[in-house]
Amino acid sequence: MSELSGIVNPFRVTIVSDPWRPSPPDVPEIHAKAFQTCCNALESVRRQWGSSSVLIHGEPGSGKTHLLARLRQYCRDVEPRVLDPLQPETVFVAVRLQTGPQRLWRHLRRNFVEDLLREAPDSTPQLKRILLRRLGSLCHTDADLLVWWECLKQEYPDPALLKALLDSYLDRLSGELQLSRDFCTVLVRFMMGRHLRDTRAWLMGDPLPDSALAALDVAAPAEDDDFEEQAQRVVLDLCHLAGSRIPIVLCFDQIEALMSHPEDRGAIGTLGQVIMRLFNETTNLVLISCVQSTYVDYLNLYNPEGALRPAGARMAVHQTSLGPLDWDNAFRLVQARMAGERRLAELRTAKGDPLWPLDKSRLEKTVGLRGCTPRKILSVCAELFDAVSDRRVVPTISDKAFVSRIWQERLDVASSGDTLAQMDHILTHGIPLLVHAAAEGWNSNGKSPSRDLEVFLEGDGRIGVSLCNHRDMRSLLPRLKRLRQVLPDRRAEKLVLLRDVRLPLGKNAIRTNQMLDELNTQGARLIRPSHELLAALDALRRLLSDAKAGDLSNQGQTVTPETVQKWLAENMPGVLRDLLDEIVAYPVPSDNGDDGRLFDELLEVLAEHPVIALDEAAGTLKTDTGTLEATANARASDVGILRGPPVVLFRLTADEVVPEAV
Amino acid sequence: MTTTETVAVDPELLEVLLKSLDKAQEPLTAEKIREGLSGPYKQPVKIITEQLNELVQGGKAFEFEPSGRSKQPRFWSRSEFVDRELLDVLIEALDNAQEPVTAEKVRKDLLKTRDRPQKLVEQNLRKLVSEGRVFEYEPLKGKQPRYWCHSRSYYADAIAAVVADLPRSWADVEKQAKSTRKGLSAKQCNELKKEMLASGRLFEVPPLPGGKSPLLSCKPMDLRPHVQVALSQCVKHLSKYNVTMEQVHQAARLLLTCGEASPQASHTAELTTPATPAVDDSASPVDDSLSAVDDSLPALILDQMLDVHPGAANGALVQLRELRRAMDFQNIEKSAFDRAVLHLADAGKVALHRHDYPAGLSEQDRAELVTDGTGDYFVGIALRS
Repeated sequence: MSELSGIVNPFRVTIVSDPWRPSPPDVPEIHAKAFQTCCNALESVRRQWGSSSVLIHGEPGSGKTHLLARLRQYCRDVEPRVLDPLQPETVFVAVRLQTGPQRLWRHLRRNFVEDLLREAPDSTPQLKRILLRRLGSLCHTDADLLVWWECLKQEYPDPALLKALLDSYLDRLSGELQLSRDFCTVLVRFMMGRHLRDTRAWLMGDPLPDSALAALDVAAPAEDDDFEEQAQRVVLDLCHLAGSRIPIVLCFDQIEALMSHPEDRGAIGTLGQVIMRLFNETTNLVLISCVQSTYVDYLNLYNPEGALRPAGARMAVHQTSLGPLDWDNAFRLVQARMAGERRLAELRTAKGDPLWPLDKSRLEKTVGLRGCTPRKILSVCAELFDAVSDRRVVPTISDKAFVSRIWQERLDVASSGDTLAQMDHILTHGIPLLVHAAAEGWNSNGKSPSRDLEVFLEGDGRIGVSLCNHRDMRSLLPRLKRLRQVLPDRRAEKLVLLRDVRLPLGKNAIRTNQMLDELNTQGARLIRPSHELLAALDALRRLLSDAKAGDLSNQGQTVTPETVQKWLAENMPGVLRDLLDEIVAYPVPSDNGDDGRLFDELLEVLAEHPVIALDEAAGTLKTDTGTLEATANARASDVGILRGPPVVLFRLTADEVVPEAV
Repeated sequence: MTTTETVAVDPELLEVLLKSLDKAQEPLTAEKIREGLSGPYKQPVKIITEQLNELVQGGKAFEFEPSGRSKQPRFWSRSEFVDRELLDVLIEALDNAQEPVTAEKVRKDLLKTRDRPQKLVEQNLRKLVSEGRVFEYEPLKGKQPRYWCHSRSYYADAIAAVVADLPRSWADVEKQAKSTRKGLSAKQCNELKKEMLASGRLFEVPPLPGGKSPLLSCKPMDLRPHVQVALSQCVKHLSKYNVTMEQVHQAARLLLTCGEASPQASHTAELTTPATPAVDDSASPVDDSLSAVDDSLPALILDQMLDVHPGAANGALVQLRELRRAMDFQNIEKSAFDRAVLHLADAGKVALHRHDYPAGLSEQDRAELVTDGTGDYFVGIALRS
């Protein structure tokens, strides 16, 4: 049908992965009741009834994230250039729970802040809108707050005076809302537009150098700080800052991704604690949780023995579900997609057939009496559309081939990303998933016996994994000291320390090296993950999380986590297989401490001299060339070698790390 | 023209004072702070007070009212003054209070000792509010906010409890709620009613047969009590003619199920697209046509859904596994239950949610789900609007 050539297939997009992204045309009649339930919950919070929640169940592809996108539009439907203090305001935050339970608050903090600082053309970030409303309320102004703020800045052209004024306002707010001192200090910087990059980083919980902390005038983290507690404080401070007049719609999407397996009670328990804390500490929260229907059994909300009890009652003040589409709604959906393409709409009008060029009977058969998910009907439409237009029909591919393709895409994205900034997140979330996918008999259900063990595995023994990616030796040393007690106290039978290979332990870190030697003597194992490994682990956790949430679709058919796990078992990349072996293998493989030390020292030399001749490096490190070359050869994935002569060593950067072909 | 006396700022002393304030457990007077200083920093109280005022001006310290007999202001690096002992006393006092009370009333009437300043009581009450342990209420007569251990939902819960089982008139609701919760004025009661109606916690439903005023219910359009009253009236009327209650109920069931049957139901199985991968043990499609379904079962299932999960009326998903267990005592065969559920879905009464990977379940787990015999297994059921 040549008249369709050049028209983009309007049914190709079947997954909405982020409620903030512009979504395909919306059909308000679809899931109208569920949407109304969310709006009612929002209104009850706006009437200051206290925090509320909605739990939404739906099959994969039923439109859970699409519904969140609709809710986002409803909440953020504000005039961008005006901030009228008399008009209601709603904050919208969406969090995909692609993290480990150990870092749930930190993940929440990062996503919360990202959404509050989200920049869009012609719009003011949500955090600034909240602050302007708060400041305007203190000054009893009823003018447009954006104009008021500009006038205030003109009235106080001297930054020192403006800062003093803002400090006094924030002091009042701090007293009233019990906000932390550092939080208020950072907010003043944010409003002043000073040190914006560091302000953002502090709010998100990123590590900052001492100089940046000093510039922000905030305290440096202490060695025994609990980062989860700090993250919790920032999230609650943000909720308190919004106050009872500004409801916060907080959406938990992909709750399944938090669990390393469906019966991961530890993860559910942690989620329950977070929900309880949020509800006990706030009065302005509308918590919207999206869960796959299949998990209705695993969440077990009403079971007194269930892990979510009593948080379940708070998580599900209201409950609703996204049922399959009946014919009327399926018809509306198809029409809405086609109406989005102008040329197609014109052709359809001329033909006088509302579904042209699609075969109505085929669609009716797909929907049937029991209905089908939006994703299913869209996939069938996409297939039919390709068939009737003269374009090449996308061939059907097996789930295995589909997972292979998606894996490579995810790996490419992860490899080009900054794994160094996210390494702790990747490791704590990825290792339990890796273990569950490929190490039979091992699980991460148990509660960690020490806060220094981010991952705790149980199976044929008990393995504690500690992340030692501290940039500052002053904070690493106390952790290593505490870890010395883990094996003697029998809190774990095997101890694995992980430190990114790009973070060398210099020869000047004498105490740290001594402590590592001591741990090594006790039987602890130090593993140095590379960028390549972290990229593979990141790809694995994202792939499995999407599969668990039902967000992997091969031409309309949901690809299940079991399919992905099966594929991974057969195609596990070498770096991940090695990591897994090193973590779960018993007895503890012996580690050559001297070799590890020399390797660290070599990395430190390469940090200063990215390209250096082997003999020069050996001279610097006071070792012989043979030993150094052997060390470099043994770590060829982490150090570049040009065979020469002369032999030259060079530092590998992310671009040079080639992902392993699968 | 006025002149301002300039204080010589001593940055070193300021830093030492700030550290002292940071370490202090509570606000201290300048004299007390001086006691903790040594060497060159042990300056006269006047100078120390001036430097402390500098810190206050710079927003690095906060001034507090004198305490006890001293008339000297106190200083601290924190703006809040939380008295842990007082917090506990306040919680206990508010727990004993019959209704929300102002900070003044708390201090004068409820606290055993009156030596705590009003401001301190207010600050600590606000602290408790921020922690979610105490709730703030709008002023009743004056301008002072009121505080209580119970949130507004304390009253709302009482109202909801009255209509939990049966719809009732507002007069009944008000009377019963007031008998269980003190301190609720008629005006507040009416406001709560409006708010609960707006937020979907209460619903207005038609009067019962024979009644005139609309009633309040916790479920939207749950008409079972109406039908129940009508049925009772019908049973009473027909009993005069030797008709038993069972006969009336049987007739009602027949009326309901025959009126809602779908003539297309028997074609359902062939229209359904099988889920992937198919489970080996799936036999032939289940016959869920009206003739194959027990007459009374669909209506029983719909009833039981609301019992298992009251939220089902608003579209909440009910676990099919749990629903069947709840009906165990009625000795319903699995195949009959499955047929009835599928029949309800085909008739458009309910939506069924599929399991996305039934092949990954054990045979025993699969057997607890509803199957249509074509490879689809259903985990949940929800009422269609």
